[in-house]
Order: sequence, then C-alpha cells, then structure tokens
Amino acid sequence: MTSGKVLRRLRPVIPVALISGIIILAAVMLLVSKNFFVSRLNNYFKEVVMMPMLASTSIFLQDSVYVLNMGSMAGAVAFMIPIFAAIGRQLQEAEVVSRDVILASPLKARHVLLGDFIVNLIIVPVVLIIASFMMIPAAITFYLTPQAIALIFASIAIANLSGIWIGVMISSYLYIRETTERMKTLFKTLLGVAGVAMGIGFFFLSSSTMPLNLWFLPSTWVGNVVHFAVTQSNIAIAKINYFYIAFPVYPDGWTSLALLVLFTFLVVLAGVAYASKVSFIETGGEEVTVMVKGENWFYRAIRKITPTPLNIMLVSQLKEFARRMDNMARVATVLVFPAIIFLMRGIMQTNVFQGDVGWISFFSSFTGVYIMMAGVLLPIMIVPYTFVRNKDVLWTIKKTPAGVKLMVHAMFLEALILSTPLAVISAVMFYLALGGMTGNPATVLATMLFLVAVSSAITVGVYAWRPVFQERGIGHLINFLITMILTGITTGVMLILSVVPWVLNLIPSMTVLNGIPWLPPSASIVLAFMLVHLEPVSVPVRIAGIAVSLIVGGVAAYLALKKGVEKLEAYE
Amino acid sequence: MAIKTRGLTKFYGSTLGVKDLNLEVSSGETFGFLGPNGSGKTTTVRLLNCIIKPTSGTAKVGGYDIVSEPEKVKRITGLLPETPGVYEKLSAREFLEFIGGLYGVPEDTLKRRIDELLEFFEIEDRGDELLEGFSKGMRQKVLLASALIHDPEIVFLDEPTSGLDPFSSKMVKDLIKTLSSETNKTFFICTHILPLAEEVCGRIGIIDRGELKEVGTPEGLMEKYGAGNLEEVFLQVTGRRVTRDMLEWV
Repeated sequence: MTSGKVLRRLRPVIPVALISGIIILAAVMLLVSKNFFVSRLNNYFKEVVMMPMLASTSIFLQDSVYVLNMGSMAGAVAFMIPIFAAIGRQLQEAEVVSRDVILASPLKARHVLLGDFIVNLIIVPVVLIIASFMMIPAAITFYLTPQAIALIFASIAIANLSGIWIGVMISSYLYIRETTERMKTLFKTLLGVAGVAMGIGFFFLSSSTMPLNLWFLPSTWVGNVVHFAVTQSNIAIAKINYFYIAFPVYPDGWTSLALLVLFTFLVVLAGVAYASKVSFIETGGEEVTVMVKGENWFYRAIRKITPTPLNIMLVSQLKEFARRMDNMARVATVLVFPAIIFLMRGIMQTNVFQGDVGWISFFSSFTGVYIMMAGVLLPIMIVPYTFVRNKDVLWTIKKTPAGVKLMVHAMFLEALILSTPLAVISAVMFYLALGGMTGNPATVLATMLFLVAVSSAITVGVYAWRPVFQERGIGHLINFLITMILTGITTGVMLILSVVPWVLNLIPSMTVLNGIPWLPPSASIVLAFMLVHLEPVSVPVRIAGIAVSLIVGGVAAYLALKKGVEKLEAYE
Repeated sequence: MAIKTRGLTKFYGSTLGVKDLNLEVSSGETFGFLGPNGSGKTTTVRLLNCIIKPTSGTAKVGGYDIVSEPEKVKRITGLLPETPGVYEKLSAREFLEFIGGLYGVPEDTLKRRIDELLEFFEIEDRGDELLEGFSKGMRQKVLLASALIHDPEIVFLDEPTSGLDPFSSKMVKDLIKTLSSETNKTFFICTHILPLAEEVCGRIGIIDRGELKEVGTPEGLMEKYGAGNLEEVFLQVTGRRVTRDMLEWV
C-alpha cells in the first residue's frame, strides 16, 4: 500500500488523533511540570485572587463552602459536557444521514450504543483537565494528599461516565424520534437554553457564600465527595460577615460516592435495556409545510437602502439565517455573559467580595474594555452560521455573475446587521450592571461599532479564505482560532495605538505595582485603580494615535474582504 | 460557434479532471455529453461555466473567453447542476427571484417568467412553500426553472432528468426539443441516460477518464461501431464489460 493510500485511509482518524494527542500532551505537561506550572498558578492565585480572601481569614477556621461549590461545578461540567456534545453531534449527524448506514448493518443495537460510548470517552481527559483547574483554589488553601486527589478525580470521572451514557441515550433517542425539522430546532434551542442556564448556575455557585441545598443532584454528590477529600471532614464552614458558621454536608462524602456509583450503575443498566429500541427508526413524524407570503418591513427596508444586486443577495442570506430557529437560539446565547453580569449585579455589588468598594470600582473601570471585547467577539460567534451550508449552494452562487463577491460583501453586511444590535444590548447591560463606564460613553460606543465592523470583515474574510461547511466541525474550530489570532493582533495593535500615552504611563507604574502584594488588599486595589487612570494630556499624540488606529482597522477589514473574495473565487 | 475548447485541461492537485479537451458545439445545437461516473463531465461543465479555472488550455463560450471574460460567459449561460444547491429556507418563488435578480432580470419580466415557469413545471401551487420541504424531483424542477429564468443563449444541463418521474422526464425532454427548435438555444446535456441522449441530442461526445473518446451523431457512431443502439456504442468506447469472472464470489 502506498503512503498516499495509507494517508487517505487514516484521514478520518487524523483529527481525532491530533486532538487526543494535544489533550494527552496537555495532561502530561500538567502532571510532569507540576512544580513549574502549579507553582506559578499558585503565585497567581495567592497574589491576585486569594490574597484578599486569605488576608481576612482566620488561621484556624478555613471557609470551605467554595470547595463544595467548586466541586458541584466540576460535577455539573462532568455531567453536562458529554450530554451537550452527544446531542450536538447527533443533530449534525442526522443532517448528513450517516447513522442510517450503521443501523442498516447487522451490528447489534447495544454494539452501536457501546461504540458511541467508547468514542465519547475522549471527553474524560478534557473534563478532568477542566476540573483540575477548578480545583486549584482548593489545592492552594488546603493540603491535598494523593488519596484526596485520586478520590476527587474518581468522583468526577464516574460522573463523567454516567453523563456520557445519558448523552449517548438521548442522542440515539433523538435519531429515532426526531424526524421533523421542528423537533430538531426545538432540541437545538433547548441546548442553547440549557447552556445559558448552566452559565448562570455556575455564576451563582461561584459567587455564593452558601451552598445550594440540592442534595438530590449528582453534581451535589460530586461536590460533597470533593469537599470530603479536600477537608477530610463532613462539616462545611461558611464565613458570613466575619462570623463562621459550621453545618453538616448532606449527604456525607462516602454516601455521596455510593450514590454516584449507584446512579452510574443504574444509568448503564437503563442504557443496556434501552439498546433494544435503537435498532429501528420510527417514521411517524409529519413534516410541517411552511408557506411564506410576501416580505416583512425589515426585508423591504433592507432592499431599499442597499444597492442592487447586493440587496438581493443580502435579503436572501438574511432569510436563510433568520428562518432557522436554531440560529436565533444561538444569537440569544451569545448574550449569556452580559446577561449573567446584568442579572447578578445585585450580588456583585453587595455579596461577592463582602462589599469591598475597591473591587466594584475595579470592575467598573473595565466596563469600556468589556464593551469593546463584546464588539470584537460577537461577529466571530455569529459569522460561521451565516456561511452557505454546503458546497452545492456555493456552486450555485459561483455560477452567477459576480456571485462570490456579492456573497462575501452580503455576509459582511449581514454580520453587521446581526452583531450591531447585540453589541449595543451587551453594552447597555454591562453599563447598567457595573453602574458606570470609563471614558465618554459615546466614544466607547463608536469604538465598539468600529470594532464590530473590523471583526466582522476579518471573520468573513477567514471563512471566504477557508470555506467550512455545516458538517465539518474541526474546520470551524480551526477558522475560529485563525480569526481569534487575526482579530486579536489587529484590535490589539489598534488599542495600543489609540492609547499609546496610556501605555507609556504604565511603564513607570509597573515598578510601583510590584509593591502591591505588600499593601493591604483594599489599598492595593485603589492604588492600581489610580495608576491605570493616570491618563496623558498630550492631545495631538492621542488624536494621531486614534487616527492611525482607525486606519489600521480599516485596512485590515478591507484586505480581509478583498483576499476573501479572491480566495473564494479560486475555491474548487 | 457556441462552445469551442482547445486543449482544455484540469487537474485537482495530481488528480486528473479533464485532459486536452478539444470540442466544438454550434449555436442552436443540442449536444449530449456522455461518460461513466467520474469521467470528467461535471468538471467540463464547471469549467465552461467559469465555476472553476482550467489548469491549461482555453475555451470560448458564446464567443467569450472563460478565463478572461467569466462575467460575460456567466450572463449568457444557464446551468442545472448535478447536485441541487439551494437556499432551503427560501420558497421556490423567492429562490427564482434571487437567481433572476443576480442575473439582472428586470423585476416585471422576472415576476412574469417565474409564474410561467412554475406553471410549466406544475408547481405553481407550491411556489410559496419553503424548498426544504421539496422532494428531489421537485427541487430538480425548481433548479431547471432557475437555469432558464434569465433566458440564456446556452443551457448546460447536468443530469436533467435525475430524480424526476417518467411524466416529468418526458416534460423536460419536450421542453429541450421545443426550446432547441423554436428559440435557437444551445443545449449541452450531461447524462447517463442513453435513451435521453439518443432522443434529444443531435450530436454526442463520449468522455472517459478525462479524455474525449468520440464525437458524432448517434446514427454515425452506431454505424461506426456496428452497434444496434447507443448503449452498445458507449460500452465499446469506454471498454466497460461486466463478465461472470468479475462476480465469481457471488
């Protein structure tokens, strides 16, 4: 067999092998370079995150509620990631109809499920790595024995295994039952909503000074096992307003572990019993015929304000995007982060850091940065779903005169139309949640809108340069990384240029900042806050910096679109 | 001359698509392009419609060069692709408006043509339905309509009757014959269905492994190969044989 043939045969395996390799390498690096890596993380947490908390904590009583909460979060991650991943993959697979071939083969149903389960085991090391990071604060505050680490990892891995089984079962069920587009859309929307709910739940858990009394959830059992492993005790201690409160962890560590094992056992049993039902496909679902009559005011307005034939392409692209309910769910989910900040504003201002005014000011001082970041990130998250879904549509577009150029330009406008309102909503939510904004709000908003345009152009350019269609998940990931790097470099250069004097001021400030760890927490934050606000008064330099920054952004956007059109024209 | 190629060659990396294609199709002619799967038919159609660029060689379509004047070529040609690429969330009417609009068909003319084409293909009552709910045959009809919406001089049809029921196939054949005789349009038809080629094509070309093997009238080729029908010609030209030895394991 020639090397070419071998490579072709191995092609489907290469992405999995690459990802596995990266994960294993990361895990090995994490373990082997423990001294180097963990000691630096230790320093980071001790000096930046934990220091204010440790400074106010008694030597004898250690607040252990956050260990419970972090453990529950790790448990939730272990359960939910495989479920989300399996459902997402199944929904995608249903569109390329690859499962029919497997179900038509003489493979037994339980073998099909087992195959799915084994493939999904790749998630286990990923979850363990994520959980390791979540456990770092606990590892810093408490002395962790090897037995404790083993118990933590075991409980998370067990939770992960049951999550994978549940995910495999749900995804198989989806394939059997889900025969209509409406069902598919419903599940995609539910996935989005579940993601939002999980995000908000995490924020509650991470910021709460008391654990939620959800004893019946497997994620709570994981949290209880983790707490027991870390503190060697079933008594949790919470510090509220300088008072320490002790309360029993329920159910206790060993009972929680037993419940976890029992739950996983029952899930596996359910999977085996359920397997017999996977071997057939019901065709009962009735396709719903969707009729469209006329155009609404939005599309009519778009047609009027954009030139022909660009408007024809733009309106069709927008209809293709907006009539997919899952796309609308995605649009909603990109607002998760600002929504969480907005919903939690009350807690942030009173509870998270025990009312430390310095921290609130610190957060508020970065409102402008958050808003600008939203401007950069939103198009990156949205553009992939505006690209044509398969090659055949691309050929249809390529056949028409100037079709590719029109499509790329329409995608850019579409990204602007979709991202701009979202960016403005994010900005308003950040502004209201953090109770203020650094700099002139009009300037921040204008900068954000400009960044939306630059980021949209770069993302569209990347997709035109490297077209990725619906079914190629790994391609989307690569495009995402390329886009992040390109927008990161561009917007980074833009920000540096527009705040040159500010950056120069920071250099002498750094020597002073090095002394911060020796100061009391509140004073250090206030000092840092004051230092980064020592803005320059050199107006001409500032104006020149902003002008060059705008030119850099404009040129980057223009080049991205131009190169994108050229590359897509040549795409075969 | 509607189509004229000289040494047209296309490689995808090291894989051959079409090699040294020399072909002439006159205006008003209905030309059948036959060949086994993967022989280079679709590559040729994509080259002639300026969707992909040749590795070497030249071609003129309607007198315009496919490399230096792709926009002009695209304006005078219509294409029914082998695999249907449609925006699934558009209705049939919206899709036709979209394609017609990109070809610059005036709004009034476009609306009238859409009504006529939907009626001709007997899908006027489903014109406002999203394409995602259409069967393969229905989509084929919409794509056929989209290939004709801008009244092109030269029409490329890649497997035009694929997925159509016998009645619709007959309708398409009649459409090709009528348009060919009454409007002087040139048809370039890629097909596996030899009776279709025999019935509607004045001349046929047979391509295999990227190389044009034969060109002539169906009658002339049958005479040359001493064959009773086009299928025998096709098998002799392409050298394909199914023998019992090949299926020994059955």
